[in-house]
Amino acid sequence: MPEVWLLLTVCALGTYFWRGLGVLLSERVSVNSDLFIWVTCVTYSMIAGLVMRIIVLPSGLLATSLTWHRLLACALGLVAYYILRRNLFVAVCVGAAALTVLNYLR
Amino acid sequence: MLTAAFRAGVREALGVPGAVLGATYLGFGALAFASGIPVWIVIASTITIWALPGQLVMIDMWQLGAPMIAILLAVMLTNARFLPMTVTLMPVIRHRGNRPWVYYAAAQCVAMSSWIICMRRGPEMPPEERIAFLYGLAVGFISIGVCAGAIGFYIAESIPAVLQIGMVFLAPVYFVVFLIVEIRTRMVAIALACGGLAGPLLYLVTPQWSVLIAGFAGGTLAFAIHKMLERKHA
Repeated sequence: MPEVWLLLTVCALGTYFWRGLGVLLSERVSVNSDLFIWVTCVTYSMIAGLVMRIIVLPSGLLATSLTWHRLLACALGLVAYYILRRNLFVAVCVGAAALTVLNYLR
Repeated sequence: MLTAAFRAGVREALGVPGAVLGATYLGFGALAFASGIPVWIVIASTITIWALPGQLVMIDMWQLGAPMIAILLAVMLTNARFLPMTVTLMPVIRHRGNRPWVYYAAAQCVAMSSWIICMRRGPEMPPEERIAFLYGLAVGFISIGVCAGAIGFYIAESIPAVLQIGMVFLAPVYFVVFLIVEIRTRMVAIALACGGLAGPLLYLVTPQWSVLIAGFAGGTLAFAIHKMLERKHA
């Protein structure tokens, strides 16, 4: 894998491109334009697509657990968030702990 | 004065938001180990990319053997949110006394956690202190990310097998909960639903390109639905 450093460099530059462009445009772009709205939709859609793919069809270690266990663990984390004073840290811990326990009891 | 604002930023970062971030980067480190990614990539990507979803896309697609151009496009599209985030944050930290180039350094500090905190706390502070506060936040958060990522990588192997699954699940469950509880508008809800369905479905067709196509197809569909609903209510 000799090209992994190249990949990282390219990805870092590509990521900074948006931040730098953001500074450049911060004085003149309208956040209400259709282009801006479409980019926002594509962004959220892509993140949701990636996360759901990792949950439903994971690779590596996560693939050894059951799909409904992962979905149930996410649901429990979400429930914990709303019950336990909207604490994201607690919710994340509950979700991860739930999958650990479900997988252990299997 | 400015060092006080910087220290206030570091302190803020080391609180509850830092704990969440640390837990997810612990998971990222463990996930990287499980995927056969070297530890220096975990550390270097945290400093240079500084965006967990983008880092996840990168290692995930790299492991699947996707072409570099596909990985770059997916990472750039996943991180395209930094454009609107930077556009909205810069007016908050702008001050006459700042040199023009400092905004290009400050832009590297823009990430989910620091953006949320700086947008909320920034307007309460004197304008000349805000950029130092943002630097403090970023230094605190990036330090936590680097340390937690490296720790996660090294303990991934030594912790009991039963607990490993929970560790690699930290980052995915964080994003699921975070995305769902942070839904502010109908448009975002539609975009998340479209992408959430398109992602796994397209993965069955084309694993390497699924993230990219799911974003474009799901996002464009969401945009169309959003426009249709808007017109109906107008």
